[in-house]
This record gives sequence, C-alpha cells and structure tokens, in this order.
Amino acid sequence: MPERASEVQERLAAACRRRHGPSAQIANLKPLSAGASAETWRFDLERGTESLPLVAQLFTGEQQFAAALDKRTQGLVQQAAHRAGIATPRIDFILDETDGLGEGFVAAFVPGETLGQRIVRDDRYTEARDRMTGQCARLLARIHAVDVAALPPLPCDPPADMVEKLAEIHDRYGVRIPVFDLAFQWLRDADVGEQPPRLVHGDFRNGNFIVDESGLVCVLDWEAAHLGDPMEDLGWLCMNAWRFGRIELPVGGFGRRDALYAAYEEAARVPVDPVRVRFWEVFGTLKWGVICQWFSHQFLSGEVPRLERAAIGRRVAEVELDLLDLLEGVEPCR
Amino acid sequence: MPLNRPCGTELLAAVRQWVQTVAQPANDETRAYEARIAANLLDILERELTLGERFAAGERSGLAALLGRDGPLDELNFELSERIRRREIGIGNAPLLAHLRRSAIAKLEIENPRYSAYRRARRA
Repeated sequence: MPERASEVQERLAAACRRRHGPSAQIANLKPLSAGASAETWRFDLERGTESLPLVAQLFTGEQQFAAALDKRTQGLVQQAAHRAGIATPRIDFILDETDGLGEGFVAAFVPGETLGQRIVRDDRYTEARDRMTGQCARLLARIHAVDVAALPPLPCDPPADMVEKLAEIHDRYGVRIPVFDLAFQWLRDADVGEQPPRLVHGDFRNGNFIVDESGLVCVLDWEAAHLGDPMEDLGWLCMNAWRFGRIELPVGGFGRRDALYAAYEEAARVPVDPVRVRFWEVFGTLKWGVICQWFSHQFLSGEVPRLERAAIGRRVAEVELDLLDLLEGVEPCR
Repeated sequence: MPLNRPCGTELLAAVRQWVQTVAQPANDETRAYEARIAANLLDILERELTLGERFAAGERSGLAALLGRDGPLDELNFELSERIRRREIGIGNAPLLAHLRRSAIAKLEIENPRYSAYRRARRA
C-alpha cells in the first residue's frame, strides 16, 4: 500500500473509532478522483456485521479559488442542507484537529453516475434526462428555501461586489482578454439590484450530480455555497460549459430553459426573472473563464504542474465564444 | 537544405501514437485519463503549428483595422482592452463584436474545433 494510503487508513480508522465506538474498522479504502482542492477516499466502515459505505474528503492544502469555503464550513453547510431535507449525501462526521487529517469531512457514499459526458449521452439515462430538469428545479427551490439561520456564517456579497472581486482576480494574471473586458463592462451596466439573501449552492451543475436511471439522486460539492440571489444557481446550471456538447439543451445538456423556469416557479412559488438569470449566466461564464486563467497560472508558475491544468488553460477561447453568444443574444433568454 | 525528416508534424504524430498506445494503460484510470489529455495537447500543438501564424496575422490585421493603427499583436490587443476598459468602445459597436467573434472562432479552430459553440458558429 502506498505511504499516503496507509497513513489515511490508520488515521481514518482512529477517527471512525472516536465516533462509532472501539469496534469500528475500515475496509476497502481506495482513492476516488483527485479533485481540484481535495482528495477523496472511498471506504467501508465495518462494525460487527454492519457495513457503512463512506467517502472522506480531505483538504490537500492546495490554494483554492477566491471565495471557496474551507472544508469544515463546506461540511457544515452540507450537514445543514441534509438536515433540511435536501438531497445531498449525509455528513457522517466533520474532522477536527485530533484526527490529524487536516480539514475535511466524511459523508455517506451514494452510488451512481457523476460524469456529465455519460449523463447527457448514454442510452441508460434516457429516462433520467427526461426527468432531470424538473428534479433540478425542485431541488433548487428547496435549497433556496433553507432557513439561513441554520447555516454557518457564509460569504454574502452584493452582485456588484462579486463582479469587482472577479475583475480583481482576472487582473492579477496580467493577461488582457478583450472579450472579458467587454463582459465585465456589460455586468457593470446590468442593474440587477440586491435580493434578500438565500442559500445559493454556487456550483449546481451537471458534473456535480449523482444520477441513476431514475434521474437526479443528489447534489454534491458545496464548496462555493454562499448567500445571495437564487437566480445565480439557475444561470450557472445553464452555462454551455456544463452541457457536454449538447448545446441545444441549455439545462445541463439534458433540458430546456422554459421547462426549468416553469418547474422552478411551481416549486418555489416565486417568478423566475430571465434577465437576472442571464446576468448570472454571463457572470458564471466569466467566472469559469477566470478559473481557466487561474489553472493556466497554476501550471505556468509550477504550483500545480499537471497536464490537466495546462489543458484547461487553453479553454479560455471556449469561454470567449460562449460570452459573445450570451452578449449578442445567439443564446436565447428563454 | 531544409531540416531533416521526420519533420515537426511527423514527430508529433509519432509521439501521439506512442501516447495513445504505450502510455495508455488499460488498468489505471487516472493514468489513462492523463494520457488522453496528453494526446489532446499534442493535437492542439499540431494545429498551432499549421494555423498559428495565419491566426496571428489575421488577429493583427483585424485589430489594426479596428484601432486605426498597426503594431505588434500584443500591443494592439492591450490597446483594445484599454479602450474597452475606458468605455471608448463597447457593446454597441458592431465592428468590435464582429472582430471579437472572428477572433474567438479562429482561436477555437486551434484550441478545440470540436467545441459545441464553435460548430454552431461555423454553421451560422
């Protein structure tokens, strides 16, 4: 067993014994995908004849993007969301200093498909795709209705401040991209005003869903959660970057905007404002563009010398065309 | 005499072939994923070798027409960015939008010609 795996095995076992009693053992530990800012381990917690499938998310110490939550706060948000009846994996426990594993949390393992590419194409998900737009709308309506008082302190910036913070990060990389400049000016000119702050997932998109043949099972990754305008989640969900090639289906590559808006209005009992959704889709697309720049920067500075970072750095051009399609109305609002 | 063969694109093809076969293990998902990325980056490099110069020339002449002066590509790009930031030129300017669209499409021809928005733009 590689050194890191045996260290994780030993410390996770101790952490589990602290919460589940001295007879708890862990088995079948294996790494899942190495995410951008966390490592994920799948394992079974065994106690007597019981076996509980779990996942540990550990913070790797790598630099995170802008307003990303620390792993502990992320775990607390997911815990509060799960307790409020949101379909997201149950948090088993949140790591603390005694565990010696850094920041992180342990959650229930939920089987299913997460790869967006397969979700939008595989025949086995044909029925799932038909259901997912309505399921996404209802899940979002529930997230946006979570009692804010039940949440840990979260970032809560007015839209105009979010735009300026993003512009600041973009400027740090010292690369001028005229389409980005144009999009920033467009966002500054769009007056969306402030909304009463609601829980916003912040990364609600195809790729962060667990899906089976019956459709959406749950949503993952609360790293970008914050308080703000619920329309932000709708705009982010519709970005072309998460359609996995199915550009004609704006909702995650599986659904239509009007169906999403209608189902959301029915579930949330508030009207969807397509102008505000458009604002957030432009903002989200630009944010993804700046994240691509960040990945490129991490690669070039040697901070994260992975090929994947280099490849994503070259995706800025995709974002440029997506932004123009939004600003010029090639992408319809409804 | 010219450089000896295999030429640059032939070398690239050879390395790509190697990456796609030898470096692509069947039983290691992470490594296979990285090998696919590596092959993809070689594709970008190959397109950059064939299209890069033409792209830069087109970009420069487009910027020069828009700005009314010539200069090195970096300098012209910076000036356009500045003018947008100073609001001297903006969303209401049709030649600006036409230039940015042409430029994004030309870039994607190198970066990722399979990208959905690129294919839609080429159909339009």
